[in-house]
Amino acid sequence: VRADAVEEFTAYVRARAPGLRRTAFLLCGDWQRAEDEVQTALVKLYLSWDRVRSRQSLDGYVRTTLVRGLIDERRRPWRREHSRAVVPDRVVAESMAIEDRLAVRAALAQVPPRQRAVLVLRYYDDCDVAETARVIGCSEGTVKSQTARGLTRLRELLAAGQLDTADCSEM
Amino acid sequence: MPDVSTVLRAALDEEPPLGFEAADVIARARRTRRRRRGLLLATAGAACAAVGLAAALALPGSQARPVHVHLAAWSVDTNSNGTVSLTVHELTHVALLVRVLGEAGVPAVVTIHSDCLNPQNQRALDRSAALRSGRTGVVIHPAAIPSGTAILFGLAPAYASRYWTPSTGWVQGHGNQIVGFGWGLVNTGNPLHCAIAQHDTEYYSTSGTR
Repeated sequence: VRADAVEEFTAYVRARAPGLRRTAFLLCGDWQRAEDEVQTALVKLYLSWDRVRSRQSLDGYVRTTLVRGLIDERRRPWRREHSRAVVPDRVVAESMAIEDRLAVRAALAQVPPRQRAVLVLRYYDDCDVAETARVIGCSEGTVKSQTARGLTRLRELLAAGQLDTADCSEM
Repeated sequence: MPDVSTVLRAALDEEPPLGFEAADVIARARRTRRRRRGLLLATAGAACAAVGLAAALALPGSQARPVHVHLAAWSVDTNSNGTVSLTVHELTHVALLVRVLGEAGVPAVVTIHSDCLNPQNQRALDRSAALRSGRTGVVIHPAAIPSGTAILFGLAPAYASRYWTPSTGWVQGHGNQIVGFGWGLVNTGNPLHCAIAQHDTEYYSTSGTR
């Protein structure tokens, strides 16, 4: 990789890595693992830097790599996530905000991975249906149906966690 | 919790500082690239990796002669249509190999356990004209090799390769068996730019230079 490409890549990582890690965290619920997955995606980007950059699709490429990597990880039986009824090591929350946060994380962890990915891409990364479909590698119709199911599931889980879901009806 | 976006952002509190920098990613990418090339060698015979490097100067077409040299490690055969068949099984007698190739009219550079197949070295290779690959070797068309160029063969011995299986993880290979090779077309006379083991690189030529 050329020296100027290394500089460009370095600037890109500084600008995008924190946001990518947040997206990954929402998908996996573990900051350390999110960081590992982001590094893996960025490694792939670096190895394809010139080709991807020439197509002006850096964000799309790395987001696709990241999301599909996380979805694929969860397809492997030995890495498959086991849902829990309660958040592990849950402690008495010091405030309602912390309680809400724990409830949200617990609910997100129980939404099926592809539905969770659709929700994160659409409602956190602000991707439209077409972009979400391209990132995940499915049809736009599938994105719409997965969105509806994911929202329903998330709403049920949040309600079960006694979180105030009064304003979530439009999700 | 007014909307889904707020719900998702609520889960992001207590974000720890980022634990890596771009330099870490670049270093990991370079390790990945080296390992991937090793795997390609082990599985598809498509790359090279180098402790040694050998070069042969081909005799001019009129002086090239048919050769039929068969060793346990490798064989070179001139075919009736003027092509040259090369198969390589083990990493021995490399200097002899390049000398025989030169006598058969094939200018060749052989690298061992070194990453020399890169854009800095390579010219576009018209494989349909110069090379046809098979399961255990290649068929070379000496007449299709442009003047001033040589074919760079990168040999990967087992001892310089690593293997991965779910039960064992990464295992270092051993022995001289060739687990794969790659090729490219390089300008003769230009220094090679190899990624690793430059200080360990050995150089052979028909004149005995090393």
